[in-house]
Amino acid sequence: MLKILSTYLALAALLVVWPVQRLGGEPGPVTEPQVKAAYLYNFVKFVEWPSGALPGGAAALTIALLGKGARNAPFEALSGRQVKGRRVQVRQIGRVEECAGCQVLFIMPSERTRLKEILRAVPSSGVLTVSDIKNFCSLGGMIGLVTRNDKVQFEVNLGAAERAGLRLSSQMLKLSLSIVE
Amino acid sequence: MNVSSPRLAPPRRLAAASLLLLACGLCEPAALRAESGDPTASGQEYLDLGLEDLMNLTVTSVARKSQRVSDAAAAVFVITQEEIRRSGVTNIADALRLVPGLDVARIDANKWAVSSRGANGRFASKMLVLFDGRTVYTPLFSGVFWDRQDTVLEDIERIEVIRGPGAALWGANAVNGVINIITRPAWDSTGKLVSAGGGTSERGFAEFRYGSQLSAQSALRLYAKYLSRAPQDAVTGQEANNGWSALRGGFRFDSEPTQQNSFTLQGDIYHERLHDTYVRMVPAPDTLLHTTPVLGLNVLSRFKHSFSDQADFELQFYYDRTDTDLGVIKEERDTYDLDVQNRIAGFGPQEFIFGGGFRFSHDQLANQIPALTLTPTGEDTHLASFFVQDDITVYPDRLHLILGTKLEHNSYTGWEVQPNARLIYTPNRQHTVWGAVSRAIRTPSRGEESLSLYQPGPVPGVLIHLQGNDRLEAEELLAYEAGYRVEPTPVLSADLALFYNRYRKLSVFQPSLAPQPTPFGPLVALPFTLGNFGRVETAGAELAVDYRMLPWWRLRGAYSYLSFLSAEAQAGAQLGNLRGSSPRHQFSLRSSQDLSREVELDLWLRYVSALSFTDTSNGSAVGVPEYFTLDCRLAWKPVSDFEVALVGQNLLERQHQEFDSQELATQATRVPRGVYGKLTWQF
Repeated sequence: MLKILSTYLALAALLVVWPVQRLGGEPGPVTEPQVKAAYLYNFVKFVEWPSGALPGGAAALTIALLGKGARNAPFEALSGRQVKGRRVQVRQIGRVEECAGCQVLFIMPSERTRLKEILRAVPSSGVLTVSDIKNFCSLGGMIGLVTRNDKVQFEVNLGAAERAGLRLSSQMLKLSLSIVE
Repeated sequence: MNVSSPRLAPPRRLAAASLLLLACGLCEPAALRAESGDPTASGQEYLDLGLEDLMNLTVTSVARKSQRVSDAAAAVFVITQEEIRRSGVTNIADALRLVPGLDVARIDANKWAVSSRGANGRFASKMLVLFDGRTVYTPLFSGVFWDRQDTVLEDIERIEVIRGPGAALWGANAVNGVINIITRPAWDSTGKLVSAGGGTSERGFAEFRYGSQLSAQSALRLYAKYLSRAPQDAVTGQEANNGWSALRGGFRFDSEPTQQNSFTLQGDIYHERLHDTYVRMVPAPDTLLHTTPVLGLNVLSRFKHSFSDQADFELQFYYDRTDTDLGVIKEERDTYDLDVQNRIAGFGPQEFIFGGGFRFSHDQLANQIPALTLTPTGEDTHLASFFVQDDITVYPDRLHLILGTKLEHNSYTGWEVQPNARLIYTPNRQHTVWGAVSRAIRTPSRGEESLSLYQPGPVPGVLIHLQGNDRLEAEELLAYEAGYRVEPTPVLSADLALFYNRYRKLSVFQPSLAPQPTPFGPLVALPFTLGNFGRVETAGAELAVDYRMLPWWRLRGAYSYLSFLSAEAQAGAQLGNLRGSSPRHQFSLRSSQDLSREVELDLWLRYVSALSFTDTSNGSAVGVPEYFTLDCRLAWKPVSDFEVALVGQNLLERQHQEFDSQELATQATRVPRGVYGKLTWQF
């Protein structure tokens, strides 16, 4: 048993010394809202909107943030980025009705108590709903962000997305924590 | 050396396997890294991470960060759910071994000694332990019955441990540390969880949890758990009587009807059967075998209201009942506790937290053997406490001064004041320096007040009569602490804490040489009476290093050192086991590897230096040798809902001793090597 241990420790020691060089390029400490913003950016890449839901030409793709909080800043950093040949535009809204013409609606946790009404008021087609509210998918949302063991993961409500005419890539489904039909 | 020897084969295979995995692992991050986006947007590199990178990223939540700035002017360590799961531990006491500097020793299969910075014992009196805000410190002998502290381990969100005197906010007797076990809110544990397994020491266990989102605003969780643990052999090598079984169930309901209000209601009920072997009993026979039934239940409710970002209010009430027959004494205890806490920020650079609490405890005892009696058999005790803390921002984001005090009134010693001052300096994200000076007290327990315990004495025919003292004063500590945390790179962090503790008025036994008659016929006894005669100075250091070497391989090391600079008892009193019951050195190294998306491998090596106890009867020394031990966990998760884990514990030796319980002595045992398997299904 000590033999196994010493082999293992020697190997570990080797690794401790070696990879220090590689760390320079790693991203700095990232906060939970930043990771969620990065997820949102990825979702936009992996979702296909029905023709007609996207504005004509190369007009901007709009992400609406519903609800206010200090956490909005990382999401606003998405503004100006390029995706699918379009510029991303982030808009802060106070009422769900203002999300008309948006492609993505991110619902902040401050809206938790009003969630059911909000989901009912979202246009029936062409708007991807994302939130980090608990059990967002079971309550009818499309993509829910879940923090588990200090890691952010996501679950998907495939039925809700399909009803809105959205197609989620299979690669994304494969990585999701769970798929609610 | 013969290379073809079968004994050598396994290590070679393992090394080869590790190298292979290593090679795969090193290629992996590069392959998964998403292509770079807009290079002009500096500070937003996180937006360029791909989905797989994001999933593997560990985040620091905003809430925790703010807590780090304001509250961590202390030696804090947080055990996460992930660490509990990956360590392979099956109970909360063993999980506490994950904390650098915490001293956890298993006395027998159903008893543990847990303390920090010295004075460990089954009735380690200087640690405050809270379970979701409920104090689980027993006023009977002062200390914690660790067997009773349990739940579905998967539902524990984190365990926060503060070594050293708790900040002024915490409850009574937070002298050497505070352990705060926090379960997940009900909406973070929705779905069903079924888990079962068994092995050698863990004879069998099964748990079931059902969590449900009742509405958008509320959720409920229910659980049930059963376990049966095998006895450990006595140090003499014989089979011993200390196995046990426990059945428990409970619920937690969380609701947040509006953004400003939240409400929690939770409760547990449990029944245990503990096999105990008491030794050094008088009169003959020396040994008492007993099966201890424990029945406990508790209900807690908590209401939080936030007036604004700047102010909130919290109200908590709980009721706790335990009913046990220890074989040497029976205890029924009812505790009622009410706590209020307010936070108000926005007085310029200051943030106030103030509040108070009232606890009332009623017990009904039945003395069962003439050798041990407590009087009176029924007693009501109370504890009223008030605290205020002011967190002053001396320089925004850089320098905080935290001043606080606690004022307490208890049934035994009346009013007590416990002030503390803390300073924390964070020059930048990478470095934190803090210092603290605190006064803390420990109030006497029921047992210390009125104990009468006869033990064998130095010569046949002469006993020792340990006696409580109803005029005992509180034990006092003046603690000086300092710490430094550094995070030179995002993957490497280190945390160093230093302390110097000066204890006064420790309660120790003062012997008398005048024999007195006993209830046991011709036998006479030398009375040993408790008094505040102990004076001890300790100093030490605790170091923790966390290195996320590769995205799939994390190493964590810890070392702690404890030294008794002086230890003396005045007026001819004896220090007993204050000094020898805690190890001078402790060392731990943990390795956590994700060998693939489905397979996890965890190894945990620990070293604890020797202990030296004094036999109360004749003053002779009883040593517990140093030990090295290794735990190993291999888990396979073929699909996301299902996990199979194989855990080996204490693998390096067939068995080793960790403690020798001298107070209300039970048979000394050795912790055996153990293996168990566990299946977990979440759906």
